[in-house]
Amino acid sequence: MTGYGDKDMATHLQDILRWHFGPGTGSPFWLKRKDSLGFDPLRDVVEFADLRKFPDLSDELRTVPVDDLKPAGSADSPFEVYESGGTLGVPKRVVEHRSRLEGVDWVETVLPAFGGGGHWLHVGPTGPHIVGRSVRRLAHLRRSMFFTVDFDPRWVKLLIRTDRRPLADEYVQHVLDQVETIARSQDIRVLFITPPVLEALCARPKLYGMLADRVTGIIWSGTSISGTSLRLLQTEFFPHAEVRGIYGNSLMGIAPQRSPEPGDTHPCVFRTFQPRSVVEVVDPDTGERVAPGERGRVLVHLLTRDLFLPNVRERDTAVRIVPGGPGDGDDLADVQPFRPASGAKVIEGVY
Amino acid sequence: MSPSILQPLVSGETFACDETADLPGVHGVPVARVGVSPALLLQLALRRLRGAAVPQAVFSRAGELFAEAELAGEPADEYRRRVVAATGLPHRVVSDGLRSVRDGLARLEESNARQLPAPAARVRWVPRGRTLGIVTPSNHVDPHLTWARALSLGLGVIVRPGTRDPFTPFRLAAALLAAGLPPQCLSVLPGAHELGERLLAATELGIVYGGPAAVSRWADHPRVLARGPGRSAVLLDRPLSPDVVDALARSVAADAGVRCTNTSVIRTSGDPAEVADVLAARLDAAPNLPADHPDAVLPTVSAEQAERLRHAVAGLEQAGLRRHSADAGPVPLPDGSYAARPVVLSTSDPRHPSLGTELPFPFAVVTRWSAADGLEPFGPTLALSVLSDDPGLPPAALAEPRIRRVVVGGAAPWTSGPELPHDGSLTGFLLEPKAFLPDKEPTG
Repeated sequence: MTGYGDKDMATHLQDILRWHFGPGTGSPFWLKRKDSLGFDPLRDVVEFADLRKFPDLSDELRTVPVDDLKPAGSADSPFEVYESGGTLGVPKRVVEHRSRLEGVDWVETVLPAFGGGGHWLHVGPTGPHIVGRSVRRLAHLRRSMFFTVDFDPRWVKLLIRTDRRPLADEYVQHVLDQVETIARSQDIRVLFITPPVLEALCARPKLYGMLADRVTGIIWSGTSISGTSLRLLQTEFFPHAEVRGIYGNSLMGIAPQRSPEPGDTHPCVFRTFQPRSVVEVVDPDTGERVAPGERGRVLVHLLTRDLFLPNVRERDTAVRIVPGGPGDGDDLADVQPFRPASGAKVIEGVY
Repeated sequence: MSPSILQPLVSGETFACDETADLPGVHGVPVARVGVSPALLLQLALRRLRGAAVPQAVFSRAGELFAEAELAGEPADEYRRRVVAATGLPHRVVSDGLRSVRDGLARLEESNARQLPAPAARVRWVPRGRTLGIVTPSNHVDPHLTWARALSLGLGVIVRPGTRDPFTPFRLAAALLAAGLPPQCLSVLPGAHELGERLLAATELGIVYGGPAAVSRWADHPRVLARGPGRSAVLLDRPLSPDVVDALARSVAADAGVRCTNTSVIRTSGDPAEVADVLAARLDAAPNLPADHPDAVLPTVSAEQAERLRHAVAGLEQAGLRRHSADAGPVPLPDGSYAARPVVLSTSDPRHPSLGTELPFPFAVVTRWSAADGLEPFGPTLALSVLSDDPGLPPAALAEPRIRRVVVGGAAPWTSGPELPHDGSLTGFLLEPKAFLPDKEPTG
């Protein structure tokens, strides 16, 4: 329960299903597919576990016209279009009016105060990537000015994929040059930044020196980071800052690192905005939920009025943590890229 | 922290990484667990790194500790056991290496002085950079003297150990610290290949030991010294007397054939097949023993590496080289490791494209040479041994830039001495001369 008017999972689920599969309110995307599902979503999907009946249709988001995604019930509302990173080819498109913003409002309540005051600098993607809007919203909720730099993660992935690593490194330096220009004259207190870029920042003594004592908050996201590196960031590089992670992507929304709880064995546990964004950690072969503490593939269900996306197999693995509170989903720890048995090379890039 | 985990050492402080990797021995059983340093730890090490003037006594004392003492809970015997198990180097080679590093450390200052020109009043030789990153090899103990020399010249040093031998740099570091090296002078960061690349790019000077790929990657970086396969060779222009056969066998197979100065090409004015037959027969006498046996002379390798080496030898035979040795690669031993049996091949084609192949065990290819060829067929060659009565050949070899050491007669190609450059002058890489003109002296 989130305090945003959401009901328990069963009630929420029925509300979402009635919306997306109702002839007057649903999206063409789901209404067109309703009859070929092989089950009746309004009759046969009663509880959370029934979501597994749906196929993973997320690949279709690469090509479906966005008009098909917009629910008829929201015809008069302005919608935004966002895209996934495009790591595995053509990006997936999502549409969004208010649902995700409300998720961000909840994230703001989970994140620490970061010392209060000062401006935010977003060293991450904007443009088609929803994270830009989300972090801007976070900064605004804190009444902070929001600085951005141009940051194109797809270009970096292309450079790495085509074996042009030195050029990718040069691009990161170009991004950091822009960060330095801002940091030279502006009171930047909170950084949103990806681990590889943060690490490159720490390798520039002058820039690091400008920020090390000033920054009171660091939000890292976009790629994985080792536990050792996290510890180094907190204890050695930014001892005056609160360092917090956010896991997420264009399809599921953002899941902030929750506050430490007694018995935690992982330094960083991520929690989604339940019941709108629910994840399960599953065995990649059988699809069964793994035991608590075990690693598995991340399975995402996005259950909002703006978009309904059940059963999306993410390209990440994580350790399953059982949430302390109510909710059908899992918390996540030690997120890492999913490495298929085929041994395909994983390119994380800089976001 | 369990003492059996080798964790990164950052300016005297051991840093426990959550991420570790098992280091399997040549017999397939893990020998140690090694921390995997994240790139951020390299940044921390760089921030803390400061070179210092270190007295010779520190190195002399460190050499004694390195060779004999219990360091970080590890007696010298245990160190030898682990290096032997992880690298497959024969016990005797590791023991010799311990002594040779001890002796080298005792003479560092002398050696530094003797590798420089005679002192001149207003010339100072100073480091070309304040920091050195070095990616060390796992094929021998001796190359670790290289970074100790950099410390003695006042540089701060970060070592990325070779994957199979993290033991030697950690032990040498412990010896140096125990002997009084200021902690901020040195870090040892075990980690992935990529960490080594970052290290070499981040420090002001770099040294990398590696295969042909690593060498070509850094070939155009004047601040990185790349040491790769030696492609050491013999020019044999004499009849096969017992002395000559002794010298050939030694140059190919001494120290288990793993040094870059071990011969891998023999060019002869005689019949290559006959030379190869005689050499193969001599080398085939080496016993099959596990590396920890006191009489072991051959390197041992893991099952996986054995498969790769057999494949490499088969490829050379398919390419037209004729095998004269009894074995076509490593053979299994009872302890699960494989003895890398000597392999001698020959070809009558002195321009065969496979010439120059180097494998990490006693391995040589014999081919034809005629006086008319001169030194032209020898490509990049670390050590060239000239066995010939032609007095013009040694000076011609010295004049050939691609040949880095010239050995006349049967002397050992790896002979070292305080004044002897290995492959160019290391002091010449680490130091440069600067004019120093104090105002109290006439400037002339």
